[in-house]
Amino acid sequence: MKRKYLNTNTKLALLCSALFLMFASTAFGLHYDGKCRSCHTPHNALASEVPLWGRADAVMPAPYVQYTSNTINATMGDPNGISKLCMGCHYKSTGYGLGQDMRNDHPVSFTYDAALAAADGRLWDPETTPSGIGGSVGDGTIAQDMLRGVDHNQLECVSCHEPHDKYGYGRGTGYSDDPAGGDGLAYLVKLNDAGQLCKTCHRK
Amino acid sequence: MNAIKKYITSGLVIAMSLIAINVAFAADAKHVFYPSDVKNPRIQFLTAINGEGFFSNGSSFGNRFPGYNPDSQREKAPFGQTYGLASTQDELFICDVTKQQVMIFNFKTSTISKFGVNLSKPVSIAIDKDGTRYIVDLGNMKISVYDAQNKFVRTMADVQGWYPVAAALLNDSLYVVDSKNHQVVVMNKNSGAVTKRIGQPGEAIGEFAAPTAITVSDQGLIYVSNTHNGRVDVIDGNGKFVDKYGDSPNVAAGSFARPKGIALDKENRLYVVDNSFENVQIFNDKKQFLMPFGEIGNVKAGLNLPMTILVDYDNAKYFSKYVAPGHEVEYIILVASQTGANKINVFGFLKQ
Ligand code: HEC
Ligand code: HEC
Ligand code: HEC
Ligand code: HEC
Repeated sequence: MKRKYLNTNTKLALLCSALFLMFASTAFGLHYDGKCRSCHTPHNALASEVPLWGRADAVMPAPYVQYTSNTINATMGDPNGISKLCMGCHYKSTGYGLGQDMRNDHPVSFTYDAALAAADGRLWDPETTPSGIGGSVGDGTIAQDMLRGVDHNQLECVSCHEPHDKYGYGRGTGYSDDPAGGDGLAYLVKLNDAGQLCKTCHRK
Repeated sequence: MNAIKKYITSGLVIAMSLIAINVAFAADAKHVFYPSDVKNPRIQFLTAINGEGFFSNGSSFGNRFPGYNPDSQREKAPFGQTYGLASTQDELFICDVTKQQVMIFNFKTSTISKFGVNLSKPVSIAIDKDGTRYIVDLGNMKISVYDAQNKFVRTMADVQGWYPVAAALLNDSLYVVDSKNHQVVVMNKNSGAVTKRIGQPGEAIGEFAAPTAITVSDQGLIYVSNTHNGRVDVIDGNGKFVDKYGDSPNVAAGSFARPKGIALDKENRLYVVDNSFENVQIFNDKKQFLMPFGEIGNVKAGLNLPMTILVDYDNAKYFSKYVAPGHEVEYIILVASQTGANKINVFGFLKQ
């Protein structure tokens, strides 16, 4: 039961580099309140407490693992860790969007590989098709740039959304209860004016 | 010869799969205790409530296997997305956000009823001593009030605009958590008039960041789950800060990353659901960390994006059949998850 995707240990090493932080806060549009800690929970600030209940000689408990997924029993539709992170805030009841629009209910947390593409017939092979996202991190294949997990074959929320708004498309049209939002593209990884985003993976 | 071979092979396969099934059931029949490493555990996982089949034995497999375990039933009328929970004597109230209704499970009569007209997203429910039900409807951004017979009475709202996600009652007031304006709105429970606003956005004492849950102690103190500040704040009825559990978001045991639902037992033990660790942590009235509980994933006691929690003394007796031999349950603890196989997990607090 290891957290596979958002490995905060390594990511935090990055986070803690002051240089990166300075860069991040100027170069990124800030999703949510701009506080990194809303998504990247600090790890090393506090020591774990020993639970009073339990064995007296129990070793110090390890820090908790966040948004774990149980892939052994997972069925299609069970969100994996990285999508669970998003759904902690973006859920029907928690608010912040995610509504009726089909575009927003795209299935996540399932395997998209060459075999699925072959079986489906209407999908591009993610292992050979370029993502077309562009830029230094977006010049690889769909699998490399858009899919996650140890095998880079899981479709997740972040396949289409970049939570730091690295690509600068801003908030989407669905965000209506804030005058500042409303004309962007929901922190997408690429434009979708003519369905380019969809066509990256869907042949038709 | 070939036919015989086939016969033997399939016999073997059947025998082996029977063994496999038995092993699976044996594993399934094992009780889940917390802590798991001591002689006198405090909490036992009892069962999961996944929908309307809870009373009806609505299993699509039937009840005919040796070692059959009711936990393995497939739910015929599953819940949509379960959120707010409340209970009275014999009755459990469950808000289903996607089915836009409140369901009442009556354990005495083993029946299920539903109520709520024009509810959009019922996320939370608070029940007064006289049985009046206050339903927080996030979709309509209103409190819908129903009487003890489930008859609609009126709606109440904050005219300034709000984002109500949870509510609790204290004396004549309804304390409503407004998660987008980062405050607690206090209104007269009869007139709906706003009498006070507690808190403002921020990280300091007296400030909230996307609070999500609220509960009131027998002593009249109000506990608020200050979600994005990674703590639970205690305030008095006037909104004055009294105390806090946790400090800032952290993954260390005894801290919170994304605290959501909270509940108190009669000894003022505080239960805090963490949506990100997918567990529940318990603290005593001296704020000492007692233990965490809950599993991860689609297993027994598995919590998947858990959101709300309820401590229920009234209906514990109806779950005695799930309690391990040699143990007795003082109260039950219900935890509602947003996804996964187990929608509402029921745990029992064991008498020591
Ligand atoms: C809304 C949630 C959210 C917020 C807020 C957020 N991050 Fe992230 N961050 C993520 C996710 C999700 C990933 C993994 C991205 C992926 O796999 O595409 C990530 C990855 C990273 C990485 C690793 C590099 C990468 O792209 O994989 C760094 C570094 C990082 N974040 C820094 C920051 C900093 C600095 C801030 C605050 C300015 C911040 N993050 C705020 C969600 C967030
Ligand atoms: C296959 C691509 C894709 C995936 C996967 C995807 N989205 Fe989206 N999402 C979109 C597009 C396209 C839009 C619409 C953007 C626009 O036009 O503004 C959108 C819009 C949204 C919006 C804003 C609209 C609204 O309803 O408020 C939110 C919030 C959102 N997505 C969250 C998520 C989350 C959380 C996940 C994972 C559970 C996810 N998305 C997965 C493509 C995707
Ligand atoms: C800590 C809470 C939180 C988390 C976690 C979070 N979000 Fe958000 N998200 C928000 C809030 C609040 C907004 C609206 C304000 C804004 O746009 O910054 C938002 C806005 C969005 C929007 C734009 C909505 C629109 O209508 O344009 C998208 C898309 C989105 N989030 C996707 C994601 C994805 C993908 C993840 C996971 C990597 C994620 N969010 C994680 C809180 C969160
Ligand atoms: C990163 C690749 C990728 C992108 C981008 C993408 N999709 Fe998909 N989509 C998939 C895969 C893979 C499936 C699963 C197909 C299958 O199971 O055969 C899928 C399935 C679907 C389905 C079927 C859902 C269901 O429940 O059966 C719809 C509809 C869909 N996509 C619409 C869209 C739209 C609209 C967009 C653009 C906003 C989009 N997709 C973008 C990969 C993608």
